[in-house]
Amino acid sequence: MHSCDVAIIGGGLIGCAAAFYLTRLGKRVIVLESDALNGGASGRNAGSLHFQLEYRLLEYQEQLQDHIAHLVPFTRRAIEQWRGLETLLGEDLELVMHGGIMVAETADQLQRLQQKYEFETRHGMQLELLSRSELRARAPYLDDRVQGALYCADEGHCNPRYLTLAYARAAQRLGAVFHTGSRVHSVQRLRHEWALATVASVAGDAEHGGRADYRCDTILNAAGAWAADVGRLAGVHLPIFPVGLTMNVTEEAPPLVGHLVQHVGRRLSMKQVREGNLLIGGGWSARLPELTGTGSAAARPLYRSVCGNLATAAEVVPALRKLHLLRTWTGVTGVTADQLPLLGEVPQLPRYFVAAGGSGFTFGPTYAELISQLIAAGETAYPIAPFSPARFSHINMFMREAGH
Amino acid sequence: MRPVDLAIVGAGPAGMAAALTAVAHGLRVVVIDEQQQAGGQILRQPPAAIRVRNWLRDRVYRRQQQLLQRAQQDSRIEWCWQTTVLGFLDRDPHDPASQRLWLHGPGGTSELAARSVLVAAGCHDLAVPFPGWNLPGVMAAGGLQAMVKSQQLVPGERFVFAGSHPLQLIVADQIRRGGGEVAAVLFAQPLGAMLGVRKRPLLMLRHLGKLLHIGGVMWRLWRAGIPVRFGSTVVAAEGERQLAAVRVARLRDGVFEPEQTREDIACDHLGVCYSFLVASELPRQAGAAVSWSAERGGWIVDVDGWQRSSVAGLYAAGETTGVAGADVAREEGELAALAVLQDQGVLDAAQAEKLAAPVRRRLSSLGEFAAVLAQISLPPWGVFEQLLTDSTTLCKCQGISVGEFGGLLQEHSTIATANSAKLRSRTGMGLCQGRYCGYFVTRLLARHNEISAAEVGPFSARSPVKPVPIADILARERELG
Amino acid sequence: MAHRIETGVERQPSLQIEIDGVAVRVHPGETVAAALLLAGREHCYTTRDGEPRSLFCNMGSCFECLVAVSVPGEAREPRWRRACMTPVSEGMRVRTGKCLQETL
Ligand SMILES: Cc1cc2nc3c(=O)[nH]c(=O)nc-3n(C[C@H](O)[C@H](O)[C@H](O)COP(=O)(O)OP(=O)(O)OC[C@H]3O[C@@H](n4cnc5c(N)ncnc54)[C@H](O)[C@@H]3O)c2cc1C
Ligand SMILES: Cc1cc2nc3c(=O)[nH]c(=O)nc-3n(C[C@H](O)[C@H](O)[C@H](O)COP(=O)(O)OP(=O)(O)OC[C@H]3O[C@@H](n4cnc5c(N)ncnc54)[C@H](O)[C@@H]3O)c2cc1C
Ligand code: FES
Repeated sequence: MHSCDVAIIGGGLIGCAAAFYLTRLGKRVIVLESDALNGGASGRNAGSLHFQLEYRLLEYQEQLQDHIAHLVPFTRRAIEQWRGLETLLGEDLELVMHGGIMVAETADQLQRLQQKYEFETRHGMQLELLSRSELRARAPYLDDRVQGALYCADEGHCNPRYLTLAYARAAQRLGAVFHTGSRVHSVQRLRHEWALATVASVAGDAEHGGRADYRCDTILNAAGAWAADVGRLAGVHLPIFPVGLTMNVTEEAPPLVGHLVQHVGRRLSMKQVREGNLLIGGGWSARLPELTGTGSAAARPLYRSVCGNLATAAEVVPALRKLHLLRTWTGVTGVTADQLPLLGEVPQLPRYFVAAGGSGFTFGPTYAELISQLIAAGETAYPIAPFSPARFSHINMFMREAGH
Repeated sequence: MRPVDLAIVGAGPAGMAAALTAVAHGLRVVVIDEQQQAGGQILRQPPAAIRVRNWLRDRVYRRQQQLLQRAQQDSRIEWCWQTTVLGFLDRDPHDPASQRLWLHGPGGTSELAARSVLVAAGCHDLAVPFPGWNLPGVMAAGGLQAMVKSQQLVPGERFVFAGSHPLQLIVADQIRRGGGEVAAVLFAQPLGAMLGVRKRPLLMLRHLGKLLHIGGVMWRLWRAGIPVRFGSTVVAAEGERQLAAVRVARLRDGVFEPEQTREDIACDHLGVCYSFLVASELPRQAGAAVSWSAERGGWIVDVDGWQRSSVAGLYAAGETTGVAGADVAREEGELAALAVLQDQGVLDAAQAEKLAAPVRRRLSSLGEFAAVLAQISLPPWGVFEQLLTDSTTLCKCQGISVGEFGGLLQEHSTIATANSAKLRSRTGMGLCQGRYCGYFVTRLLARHNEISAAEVGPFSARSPVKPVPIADILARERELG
Repeated sequence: MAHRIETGVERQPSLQIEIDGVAVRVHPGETVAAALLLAGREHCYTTRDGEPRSLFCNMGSCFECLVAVSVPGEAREPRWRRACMTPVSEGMRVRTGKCLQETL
């Protein structure tokens, strides 16, 4: 039997970063991960730091009006946090914040950029609208078809293969404990505490992995795309849905693309990493695996996605035609019903918290820091009430007895 | 596009035997191979434009040669040369029963739908890292051999062979016959270990042909004054941007003798010949279950008694299911075809079983011999451990040393799987997709954490298994609309 | 230096290719890898760190033998290819060294 203050379910970025912030706040933490740390979305994502609002959010502008107002200060906090992250964790994370551009090809798209610019600057974001000629000078790798772009100086990328483990290592130094190969399969509310049980998953860590029992005061559900499954173990519905995404990467190339490149009207994100490879993604789907409750169950790439993604990318950056596709891979991320994160205490369950949601690489450190403050001190430095799972309480109306 | 009945990846003995059996029962069969002709690694033929009199006429090749002739003359088999199978694509929703292969050939990329797929992709040399192994001039012994066999070219002047697999004797002899000078052939294991076979007199008798062939090779090497040494190996390759000499150390009780007793042998090419690694990346990418075997080639594809993998409609035969040589490959290929015929309803169970019976009989004896050979052909891990010094390059593609890799494992105690090691270290992310370093990443990680290779697991195999020009994908995308 | 085995081997009339600007005569059916060896230029591409790479497996699986190749008539820019898997053709141009970057 292991006991701790906080049991974190899920060893992705959010779980490992929360382990770090919570131990720093004096909590005894155990992270339970069914596979290997960083084996889920956190180790497979595109590593983009995109601070401009994604266009998909603007499409829901009206419904989200109130929430977006909260997203902007949140974003500013994230930027601040990223700037200090390598120092904080004492590791080279291949972090670059050399600016990101969101490009437009058509008059219609230009107009959307304009709207986006006005909307975001009104809310306090610092952005720059680049004309075609300014763009030519700054980003000569772009095709002539690109008419303009919105530039955000803070954007960039970081190596997702490193970040989660850097947090885990820093947390470990402060005393956090990590049990990999340990899949949580039961969560019970006892009178004053929580009881969890794990089973071994295939890729077990010999020393710690496998079947074990845990007692804790607090649970943090940080199971990413699997947060809903984990939630149901405690008898609560968390409306987060798994989405399979495809990524493409080229061989190492000489310096070519010096920004994070996104598109306002098409699914595209592109960046060149330190070794020279170009990572190409942007939300092209993959076929979901049977969800087995572990991050390593791979989604399958879709041929249409690979071709469509590369075609889009090559139209925007024509030099891509001379490169090779080195590899494709897939990951499973979670999206919530309303596109906003799930961040806070679950009203139906005492001392049961959740931190999950989209764009969780860019905002993962911030989600983790704020949820840790909430767990340890009951309040946060930035308001996160709009992201509370309380907004979905209605779907848990009939679940009350299920968790007991 | 109507799916073909059977797509076979690999035109080696396994693929050829399967194709012949399948077309004989009326299946439509397409065989895809990266090479220009049939034969696989054992019969890497000279290209059509180079005519060779009495090519590979030794007795041991006779049955394989006959298989090759029959396959090449069978007009029912459709061949697809110089074409790489890049991976398994998602299935076509209109035809979910068929698998779809992603191909890249001289005409660009394309797709091939098949009701059944047999992966008979063979194996490649196990490339054991040691100091200097990335120097030009250090080659896989099988690679040197293919220069002689197929290109009719002796790729240098003075050669050394080092490793543990008897194939190096054959290659040394071929180089010598072609006019190259062989300075030495070095076996890491003591002669006693190799002579383990003598404890199985019956088995030896049944495979006398092969033993006599090796005996003949040894005799010719001896007559030519070429030293064949046991219990010593190359511990470093030396030279300025090109191999100039190798450093040789003797082993006593599995331990390299000290520095001062080591000897340099001048040479321009070194053939490294420690056993083989199976090409299981395609089945793994398709989701087939694999098991670990240090002697039989790393992650080998699990098959049932009919060469069926764990994925419906996907079969594996030949080296891909564990290194066992050309004869076993041929029999397994035939068995796989019988399974396909049965599963597609062409043969009923009784018919298939009847046809399979003689194949199985041959296989059981061949399999036993292969198992003994595999066992004596791989030195104990301790030998590799001494070769993999900290400064040795572990992953050539990404330039990651053994020491750097070990350091990361020290720093990150949570790394326990091959995939998590790959993510953190970049091993296996380069142009070869981990085909070469994967074996050592698994073994090093298992050692470090004192866990089994099964717990470490393989790298996830990703498509494309070999890099493909984006321009070709785009051209195909336009064609498909 | 590498040499061709002549006894018992019949080759077709030679053709010309260019390796790093130097004309080299080869025979149909030979691979670029064979041509490099015969021309005494065993190095293929050079890594970012300036290390030369060369043939290793000679069977298309290690990717150590990459060179930039352009073929007249194919009207394409040079592409990198595996020397061991690429047959020569008349007028082919092969570049070694920092050639991978040059194809971009
Ligand atoms: C292909 C792709 C590209 C992306 N690109 C970007 C991008 O560029 N920028 C960006 O900001 N975001 C991006 N995202 C999203 C981002 O990766 C995720 O939002 C983020 O990583 C989520 O982190 P997490 O810790 O919540 O989840 P994960 O990293 O998925 O971690 C959850 C963990 O929980 C474990 N788990 C599940 N069930 C159990 C159980 N029962 N017991 C124990 N453990 C369990 C899983 O094994 C997993 O390791 C991308 C996602 C994908 C898939
Ligand atoms: C370099 C080398 C030399 C060898 N020399 C000898 C020898 O002299 N004598 C001996 O007895 N044994 C030799 N062997 C052992 C050899 O593995 C077996 O003898 C025999 O060839 C195995 O038959 P197979 O059908 O399983 O595979 P192979 O004969 O290896 O055939 C596999 C075929 O699959 C093709 N292939 C693989 N992947 C793909 C892909 N993704 N797309 C398209 N095509 C693909 C390959 O090009 C190859 O032709 C050698 C092995 C190697 C690697
Ligand atoms: S030498 Fe290995 S791919 Fe050519």
